[in-house]
Amino acid sequence: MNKELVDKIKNNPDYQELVSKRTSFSIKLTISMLVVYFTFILTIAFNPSALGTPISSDSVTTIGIPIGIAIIIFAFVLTGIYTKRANGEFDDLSNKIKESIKEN
Amino acid sequence: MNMNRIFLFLILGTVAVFASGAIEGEVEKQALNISAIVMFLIFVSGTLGITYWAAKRTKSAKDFYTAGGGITGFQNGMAIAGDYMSAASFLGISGLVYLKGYDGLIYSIGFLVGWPIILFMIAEPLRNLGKYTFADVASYRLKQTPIRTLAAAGSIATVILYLIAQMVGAGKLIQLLFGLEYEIAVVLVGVLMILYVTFGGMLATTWVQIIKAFLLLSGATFMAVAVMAHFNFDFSALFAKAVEMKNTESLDIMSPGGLVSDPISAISLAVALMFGTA
Repeated sequence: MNKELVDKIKNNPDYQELVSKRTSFSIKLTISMLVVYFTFILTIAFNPSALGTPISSDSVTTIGIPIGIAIIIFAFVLTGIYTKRANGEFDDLSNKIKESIKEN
Repeated sequence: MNMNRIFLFLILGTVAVFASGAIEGEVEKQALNISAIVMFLIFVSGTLGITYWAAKRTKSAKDFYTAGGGITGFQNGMAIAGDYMSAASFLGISGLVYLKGYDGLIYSIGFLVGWPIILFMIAEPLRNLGKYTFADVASYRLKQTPIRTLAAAGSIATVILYLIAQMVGAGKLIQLLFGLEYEIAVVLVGVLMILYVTFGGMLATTWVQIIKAFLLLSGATFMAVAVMAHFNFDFSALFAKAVEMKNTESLDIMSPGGLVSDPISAISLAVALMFGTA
């Protein structure tokens, strides 16, 4: 790729929009995953009995089981959200950039 | 390159043979299990057939590393799933849950959490660069020689710790299933690994992994449904039975603490699991 083309892409407003949107989106999703995960881990670390509380008095199932499953589902949902936006909005933007480069 | 890889496998195989003491346990040499051997041979010959087919189509570096770019997103997803659902998730986690209860669930969550993060942070830039391996990507921006040395050292350290454990596990499994000698089982596993990767490249690996993912997913789903059917799809009944079974050891399997009993080990385990994936 030559210097001129690189500059042209870098100065393209669509490209700048794509980069900034995608970066902040990735960071937001990563942070939400980490917050959920480490809340869970720190609960295990400092207050494990909280997760060992039975759901109801006559049940052996503890609150930790649905919470654990919920975290797994949360990871799936985040992945789904990312994939949907990456395949839709971000791919559209990057195709638009490619088109505009070709035209010039 | 292929010779080096074969050499590396030979060394690892030797280490794995001697590392068998790691899980000596109660693995007794079993009587020859004909149906298991037949199943195994069908699977191995099928996958070797795929490898042969792929080897004929692999002609360039692009073919070798990325299957010529001809793998669809879904196929690739299945392959990554197959790669990921190794002995650790299928046998290791089940065993851990059986032994330690809730702490096994911590492992499965920790393993999983690394994946979305890789997707959000690394997947797209990696694809955009159009490189094949981690070393290629890192050396694209940094100085070639030191970064490749570092990457090689990192890979070998990981492989020694990880692959030997895998080979010991696979060797033990084959020993258990087939009644083969452990040394022969490990060598057999090593030879198969070399054949798959050296000759087939990414195309063969991908298809072998897709088949594996399909078998594991359907097998595990069947077992899960069968177990739940046994308990009339009542989760509390399942958990109650599990607690009853484990009662003798006075171990609270429904809450954390069986394996991670202090804050430091909980946090260290959590970070290790997450980076283990990444």
